[in-house]
Amino acid sequence: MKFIKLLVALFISNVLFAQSPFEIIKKADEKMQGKSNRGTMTMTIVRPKWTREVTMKTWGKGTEYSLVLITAPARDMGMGTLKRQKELWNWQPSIDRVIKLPPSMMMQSWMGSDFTNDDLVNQSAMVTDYTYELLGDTLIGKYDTWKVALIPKEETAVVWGKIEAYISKDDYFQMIFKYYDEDDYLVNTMIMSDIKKMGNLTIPTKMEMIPAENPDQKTILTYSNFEFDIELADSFFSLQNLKRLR
Amino acid sequence: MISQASFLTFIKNTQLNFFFSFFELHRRTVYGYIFSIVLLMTSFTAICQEDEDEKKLLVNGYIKDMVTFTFQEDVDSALTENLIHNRINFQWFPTEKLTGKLEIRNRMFTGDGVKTIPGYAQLLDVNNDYFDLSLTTKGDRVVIQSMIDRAYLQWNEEKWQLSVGRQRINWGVNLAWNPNDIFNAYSLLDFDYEERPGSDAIRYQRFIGYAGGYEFAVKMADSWEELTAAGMYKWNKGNYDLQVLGGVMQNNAVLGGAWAGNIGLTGFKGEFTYFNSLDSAKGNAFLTSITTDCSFPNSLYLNGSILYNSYSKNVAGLGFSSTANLDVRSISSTKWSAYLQSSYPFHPLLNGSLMVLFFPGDDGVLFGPSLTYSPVTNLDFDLISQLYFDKSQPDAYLVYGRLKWSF
Repeated sequence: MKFIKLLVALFISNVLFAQSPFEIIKKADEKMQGKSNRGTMTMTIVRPKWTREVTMKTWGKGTEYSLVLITAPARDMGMGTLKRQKELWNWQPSIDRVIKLPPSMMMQSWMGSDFTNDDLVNQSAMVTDYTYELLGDTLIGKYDTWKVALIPKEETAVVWGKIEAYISKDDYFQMIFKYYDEDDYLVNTMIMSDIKKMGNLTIPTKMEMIPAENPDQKTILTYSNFEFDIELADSFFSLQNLKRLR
Repeated sequence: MISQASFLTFIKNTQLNFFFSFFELHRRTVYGYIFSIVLLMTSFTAICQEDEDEKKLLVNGYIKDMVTFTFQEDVDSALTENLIHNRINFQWFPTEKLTGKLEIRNRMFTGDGVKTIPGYAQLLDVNNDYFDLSLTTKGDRVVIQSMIDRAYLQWNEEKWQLSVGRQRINWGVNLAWNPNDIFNAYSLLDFDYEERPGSDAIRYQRFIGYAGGYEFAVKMADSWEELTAAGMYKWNKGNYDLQVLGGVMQNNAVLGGAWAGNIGLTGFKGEFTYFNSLDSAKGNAFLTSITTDCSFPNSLYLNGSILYNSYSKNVAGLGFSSTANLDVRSISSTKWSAYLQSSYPFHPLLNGSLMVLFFPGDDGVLFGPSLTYSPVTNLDFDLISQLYFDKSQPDAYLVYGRLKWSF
């Protein structure tokens, strides 16, 4: 009898646990990042009269470590950024120089795009820097999704007032993120699509960031050749590798 | 707006024209021949180059054309000069552990300066390096200079690396001024040489952890008085990058240190170096510089630095004529210097910045407003000015228009 009670308790807690908004976000994040990852990303800035493309190689591990190296265009080729916990460095091969960046740089637009440095190297902070609330269910296309509100914790340097995340119930795919400012105005909408198997994970491989004020402009981020859960030591994320990788 | 294809044709033509005039001037020299072949080769390969992983040879660089207008207070006419400037970088990866780098800078000067300033070519051909890897040729209306400023081999192991040859040894961590940069200092105002000079040297680096380690470097010299050799230890503590260095620099015992970290969201960096002269006839020197920088969510970036240089003789006026491979003690001509810089992207393709350089206790001030516009990928147009105001001598205004194509 005790055994059955224990099983039931375990079952109930499991169900509750699986549906806690924190757990939804955590699973969705793990699904997108893996424990570690390596791949190529292309960023396209789209404006009514022009577009620009930047290609980069990226390495990431958990929420703490990331390294981004620009491979095109020629003008910026070889430039790199290393992030370790709260520290951020920039490598400029033309002047043979590593420059330590102030933390305030995290909130700046990345190369004139609709993404901030923080969006690019610190995406996983959504697991650590927020409190969570389950707002309900919504249908997006053929996907039944949870709608979760992420409210930044007070002590964190998050720029948003609130984020609304839409996560698919079946596979924890991140579908839509809506970013609101502190006055509750919608600032940016991120739409994820092109769900594909990449490495050992099935993930959305295209993200579009659309500013609410200028709906005719956007920034598209496309993942290619990504591998997940690879061997990457913490020591890989070093200044010497920032200078050496190519 | 010009199309990318027509622009490529323009660049190819420019590079070819550049090649032919270059060849005309240099044809009688073996160097000229080699340089010409390299130039011609890269004119094609660089543009046709495909983005491909794990290539054994990588070629990149740029070609720039810069027009300079110099105006002086109480002088009616302006001096006009033109500079075509080409840089080619070769990176060679023969094995996983060996890397080779060769970088060549070719410049062709025309205009009023070449015509009117006697010894213009000699002024350009300043060579503080052990080997003379530059070639300057003077025509009636043109001066051409080719210079190899990087040529080195590097052996890479996981925990250490060894580099031999002409390389840049950049020990600075501060912005604006780097008192720790004892191997190859540069002038803050020489904006058109962002790569900066190299040194003929041997450098060994040992890595400890992710931001620490130690290294030794020796710059080649004919005599003890000329020798620069030093060691540095680096570590990271409490989110600060720290370093101490010691050695000799041209008959001075040198001791220095630096930090790079932040206070709250604001960057906080600094460097100091003490030079104890081993020649009793010459004085000691102490240089220190501190910087703070910060950026705002709207992408406005601010940075402020001060420099104290005890070695400076407080020369009247700004005195920035030298942009050659400087001795670090001559990076300023006044004891105190202050620098403020702000930059702001008005548009993702248009960036504006304003630099102000002033000298507490002196009358000189320099304003440097500039704009950078990128009409197509890899093409930048810069409008840069340096406006010198000085009570003790006539004001001078320099305006530069520069087009840069990166390949």
